[in-house]
Amino acid sequence: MTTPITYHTIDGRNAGTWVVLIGFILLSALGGLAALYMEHNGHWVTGMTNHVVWGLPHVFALFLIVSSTGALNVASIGSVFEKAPYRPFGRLSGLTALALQAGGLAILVLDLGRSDRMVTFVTYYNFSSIFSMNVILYSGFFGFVIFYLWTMMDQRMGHMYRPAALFAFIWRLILTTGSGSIFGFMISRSAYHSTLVAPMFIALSMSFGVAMYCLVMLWLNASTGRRYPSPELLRRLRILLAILVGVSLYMVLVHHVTNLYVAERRDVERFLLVDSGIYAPLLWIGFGLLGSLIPIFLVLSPAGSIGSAKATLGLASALVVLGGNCFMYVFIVGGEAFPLELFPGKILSSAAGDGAIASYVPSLPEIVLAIGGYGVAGLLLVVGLWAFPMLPSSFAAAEQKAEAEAKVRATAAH
Amino acid sequence: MSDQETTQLTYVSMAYAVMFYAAAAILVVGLALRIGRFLRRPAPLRGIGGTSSARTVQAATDMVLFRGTFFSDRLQWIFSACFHFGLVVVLLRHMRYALDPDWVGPLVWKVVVLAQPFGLYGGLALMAGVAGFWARRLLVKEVREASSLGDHALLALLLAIPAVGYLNNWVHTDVVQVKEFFVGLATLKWQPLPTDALLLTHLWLVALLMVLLPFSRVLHLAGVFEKRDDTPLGFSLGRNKRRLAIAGVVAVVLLAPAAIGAAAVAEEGWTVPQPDFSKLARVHKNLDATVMIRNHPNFLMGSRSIVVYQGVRTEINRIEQCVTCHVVKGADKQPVAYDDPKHFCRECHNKAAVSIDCFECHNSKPLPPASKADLETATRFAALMSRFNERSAVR
Amino acid sequence: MSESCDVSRRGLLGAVAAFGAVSLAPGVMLYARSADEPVSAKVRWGMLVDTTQCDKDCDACVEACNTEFGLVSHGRPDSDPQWIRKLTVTDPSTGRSQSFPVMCQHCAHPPCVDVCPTGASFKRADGIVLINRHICVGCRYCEMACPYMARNFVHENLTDQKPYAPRGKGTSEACTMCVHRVDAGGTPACVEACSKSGRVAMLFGDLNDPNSEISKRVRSVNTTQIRSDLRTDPGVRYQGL
Repeated sequence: MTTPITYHTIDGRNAGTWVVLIGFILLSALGGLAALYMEHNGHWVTGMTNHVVWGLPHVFALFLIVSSTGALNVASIGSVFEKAPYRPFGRLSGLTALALQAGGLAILVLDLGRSDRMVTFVTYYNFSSIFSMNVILYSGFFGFVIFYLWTMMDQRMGHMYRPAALFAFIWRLILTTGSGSIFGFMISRSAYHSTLVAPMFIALSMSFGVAMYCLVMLWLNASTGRRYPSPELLRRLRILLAILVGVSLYMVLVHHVTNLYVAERRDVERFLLVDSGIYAPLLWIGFGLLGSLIPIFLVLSPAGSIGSAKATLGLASALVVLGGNCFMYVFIVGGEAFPLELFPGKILSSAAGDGAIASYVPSLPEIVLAIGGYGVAGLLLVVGLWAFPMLPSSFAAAEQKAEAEAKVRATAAH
Repeated sequence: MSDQETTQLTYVSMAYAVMFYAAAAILVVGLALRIGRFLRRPAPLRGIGGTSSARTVQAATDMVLFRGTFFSDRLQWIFSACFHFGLVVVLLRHMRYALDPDWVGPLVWKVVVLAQPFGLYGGLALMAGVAGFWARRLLVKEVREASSLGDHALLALLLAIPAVGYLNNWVHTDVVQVKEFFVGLATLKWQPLPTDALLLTHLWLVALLMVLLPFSRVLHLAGVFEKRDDTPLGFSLGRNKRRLAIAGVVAVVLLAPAAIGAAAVAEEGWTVPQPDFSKLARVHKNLDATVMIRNHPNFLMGSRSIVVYQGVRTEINRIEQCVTCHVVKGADKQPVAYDDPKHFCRECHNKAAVSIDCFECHNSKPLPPASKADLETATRFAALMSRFNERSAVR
Repeated sequence: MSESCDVSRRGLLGAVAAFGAVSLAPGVMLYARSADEPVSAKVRWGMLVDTTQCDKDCDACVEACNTEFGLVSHGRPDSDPQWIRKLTVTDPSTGRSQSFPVMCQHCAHPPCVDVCPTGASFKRADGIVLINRHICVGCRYCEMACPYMARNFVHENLTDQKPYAPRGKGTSEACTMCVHRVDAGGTPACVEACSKSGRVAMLFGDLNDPNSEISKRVRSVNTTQIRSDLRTDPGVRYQGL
């Protein structure tokens, strides 16, 4: 498959690139320092406790990991589902996926109690643990996406392009299932234990990932002075985002409504949806209104009626990302803050905080570490864009040609 | 060094000492000659325009980041980066044999200690880089045809040194003694070298590389301003008598220690990688200390599994027992903790820059002597049990 | 060097065990394993808590545990170690209130072992659930997965740990059922303290041995396991709930 699309790298001599690069390096370094500080003092310097054992770092990390698999959507739609307008942006999509994944994993690894023993994840292995399954899934994801990128960038590997795309797509579905199952298989906590969590995560990954991808692309559009995305892709991305955000919202609704019908889960649902101080507003306003309804409205409104098509897509994507992090916060931290029910239906109390809503306030080091993950992701993204030709230079012609080909194929099929 | 501390040198130690002096001399003289040749050459910076500062920057990026290769051959650059950056960390790890915490101060030593685990990964990167270079030489037709046997031999050597090094890391040797040997070489107070086959092989291969470096193009740093032409990596012997003579000297320098080393290993036997630890621990007081020095990591790893998983808390398996017997008392007559430089474990581990995290969880001090209270508890316990039985019978 | 080897406490406990073995009636012998024999599945250590005998105001078991393992509070209750706690359970519809100790339940099917990515969390052959801290990376998944809130994370730097109970920053920890005492033929510190307090609400023994005191009791009286609906099959049982 030969397409006349040419690609270029970003300009390494551009002062703007350097400013961004140094910014990301600083964020990563600060994140690393925060991790060292936590490692040196012990985790009591964080807001995390024996009740809320996974805090803000995990919220951001999980968001990055989940959105990473979704960021691959653009490449998958181009190659697996043969939608030509997406194809020139496949490389950027693959690179974004890798960068986000690495950023998320960096947070997770640096938040471990014993980050120095990280290699234990490989040398000791427990096959019954979803977490160790995920270690395989994460490394596999890197392998598959790198191979996929290779087939996109090397003409000689063209014959492997479609299989690579297909495998990467299937693998990303498995990976998101794995990420969701970390929570879904947890029998101890009623907020998590559900078969719906894995499919919900897949839906969320799609909307979060496409939103992250749109932000990256629009940022490159602004900073490189090129016309990203093409009008056709812009139109499609707006519709795609609306659909994916809608599906995500639906899945989250179904998850909570299902729980509401289970008598033993009414308490936790009441807590998350109504009673809790911060979680309910984060869920309703942060995720529901700002992160779902307003973005859908923005991207479905006719282009130009509110702002330019690009501006509204950008704003909608940013809101989806914000809402996504709100959702993850409620899902992870909210689920932990609700007390364990050792005796369902009874009132518990103890010196160890049984029966009480756990409080959690993230401390500065963990906020810095969590943001550092975005720094790592951004750093890898910029370095990747600088080292490899990832950005399409002349996609318009290619797009038209590919579209014509598709039309010919469609008529031939009839 | 006082009289009591003088130790009997083995023939191997002497042979290896001579070998390293000779190899170092050949390396230094050979490199000096090459650099001299390069400096005598007219207009060394030919072909690079611009101001002198720009030239310096370009030369520096070439040297440190292999800029030229990055833009000409991306794959070769990846191998280069793996090899060279790996080598830097590996050399940093090996600084523990050249430096001593007593001379360099705690800050520099901290860097050396910190580099230790990274050195292990750096070695893997280094080997991956060499493997990449070699694969390229074997797989790319043009490069294959331009390569000589010497190139392949050198690549094999570059791969063999870290490979044997890793084996060494696995079948432990007495690293403190190795350090003392090399420090002794530098300070002209010779110390013995452990007679371990893998260690001797590793060191011999390193000496071989040191001797070959001046005659090969492997060390191209000195020629960074020369025109880059990466095909002939190796060298060819022969052609004139001078070279033949040099080869003869080299052979004697290297072959004699090899023979002596092989003989010593044949006589003393290989270090058994996994001795019978149950016996070893029981008799280790009467044994040659080196047996325990070499094997204590494996022994402790084995014991920890026995205690943790099997619950067999016999004396020989418990780290409390190690700590109890090997107690060192401080000025206040109290046992010292691992933080103290005089702690039994600390002394060697600090010298060898091997950090251990045993004492982050385990107490590095022995138990206080058993008190009367323990005995009382024990007797009371038996009484309580019978009382419990009475009560439960009533219920 | 041999002079500096102090008589160890373990040796003493061993002696006590032998003493116990002869002085107790047959069937209540706690010490069935010789010192160098690995633990086996023939034994399943368990505990029975008689909630009717447990006093609301007594925390002897908690105190004993804290002393035994050197667990000290840093004034931050949410991140302080709490291996055993006195739980007060009140039925809102009847107003009946009970108080009893809860610790690691030493499940036969422990969720913490299932989820541990490195296998650091494990169940010993004799049913005691432990953490191999040598390979624990501190991911805290086990804390998330435990339905009993039994696991803690070491949030602080520690020094001068009890030699028989190593613990350190950045790893998970929980009740070990005083495995160091049990291996030497003793009983857990909490059980001992409970007996010492005169209440005798806790009983420790081998659930697999039909003649053991605990087996006889669980056979004859109604006992329950916490969250038995999860089918984790805890080795700690409660009477009178």
